[in-house]
Amino acid sequence: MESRIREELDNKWGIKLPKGRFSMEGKYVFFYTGDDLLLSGTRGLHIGSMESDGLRPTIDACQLATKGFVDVDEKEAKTWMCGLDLRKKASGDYVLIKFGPYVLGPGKPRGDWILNNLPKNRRLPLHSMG
Amino acid sequence: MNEKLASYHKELLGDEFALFEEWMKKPLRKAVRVNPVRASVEEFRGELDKMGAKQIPWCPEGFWVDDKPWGATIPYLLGYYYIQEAASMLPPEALSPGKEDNVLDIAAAPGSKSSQLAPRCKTLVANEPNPDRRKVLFANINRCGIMNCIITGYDGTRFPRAQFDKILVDAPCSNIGTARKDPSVLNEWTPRMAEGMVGLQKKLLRTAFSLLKPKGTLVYSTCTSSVEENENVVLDLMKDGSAKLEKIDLKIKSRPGRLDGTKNCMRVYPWDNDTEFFFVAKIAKK
Repeated sequence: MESRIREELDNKWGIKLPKGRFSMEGKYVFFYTGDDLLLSGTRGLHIGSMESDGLRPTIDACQLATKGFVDVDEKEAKTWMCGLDLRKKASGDYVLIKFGPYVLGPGKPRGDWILNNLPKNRRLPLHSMG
Repeated sequence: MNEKLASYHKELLGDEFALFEEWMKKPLRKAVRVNPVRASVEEFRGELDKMGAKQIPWCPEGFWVDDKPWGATIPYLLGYYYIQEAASMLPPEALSPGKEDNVLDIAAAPGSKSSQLAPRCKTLVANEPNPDRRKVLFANINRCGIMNCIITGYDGTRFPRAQFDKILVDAPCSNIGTARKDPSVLNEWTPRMAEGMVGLQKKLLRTAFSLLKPKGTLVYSTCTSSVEENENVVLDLMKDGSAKLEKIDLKIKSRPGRLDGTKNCMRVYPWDNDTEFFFVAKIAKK
């Protein structure tokens, strides 16, 4: 499993993880770089989830990405960060929305849209759209 | 401010009680800490300038910023900085872990100090028994992109046997220090409330100390002013002679501990540095 996840992250988005161990909790994938200290506990960063169409990286894994981006302007960035879909064409399982230096998370291309699944606790309030 | 709180602090602070009254009414100065997992201070300098950032002397990544809602920005939501009160940056700075250290934060939620410690150490165990608070801790650790952290949910007074190089005990307390953020504490606080915390604080500190490797270091901290919750708790641990208080060398104006044998403890008063109240003790295992 480890090498397949590493390969997918690297090939699709240029995410190169350091030395460490993967673990699964249901469909959720975690990556941990520390020592083995205790038997229980949630180890490491939640980096993605295994979906029917492949691995979907989390917004936090996306911060390590070097490719697979769709660049957006400020208005689109705010729309995206409010949790709304973007009217924009793209291809691939998941693309990464990028505004300037900031990677705003993964989106799912569908037709003329990129679908948003930003977690609620990572969204701007709706009035931020101006 | 209720009468019991006022009379306790008149006795504690003497001539400085007027300052206490004055400063408890002042709103807290906003501060952030740059998350080095996402960007160095230099890489984030442009954003810091827009935030009106001024360096906090005791934390290289800490900055006072303009009074604006910094929790609703793209860099915040991506984990580039953590909104954290300036004095609460002290305990991790005092603990100062190294790259090979395994560290325990025994009362970790919401995660400000954990996220400050993790980038500096090998492994961080961030413990929080309350499930709702643990969810917030998990969210903050992930937002900061931290990969070397284990989040656990033990009762801190019954933490399983393990050995750590460094431990932070940022103990639950009666929270006088937070009055500038939440003035309701000024009406609710009683000496009995403070005394009610002492049993838990002593147990937590003793358990944590038992998990420390020989020659290891522990920091005990609270955001409250009472001697019962601070110096008395530290002295209780020191009774058997295996703990030694160490001097804390940070660039901040502070007062020594109030009781004999606690002069190396650090008391931080709001009017000295425009912060919350804080108490920090650095303890070495012989």
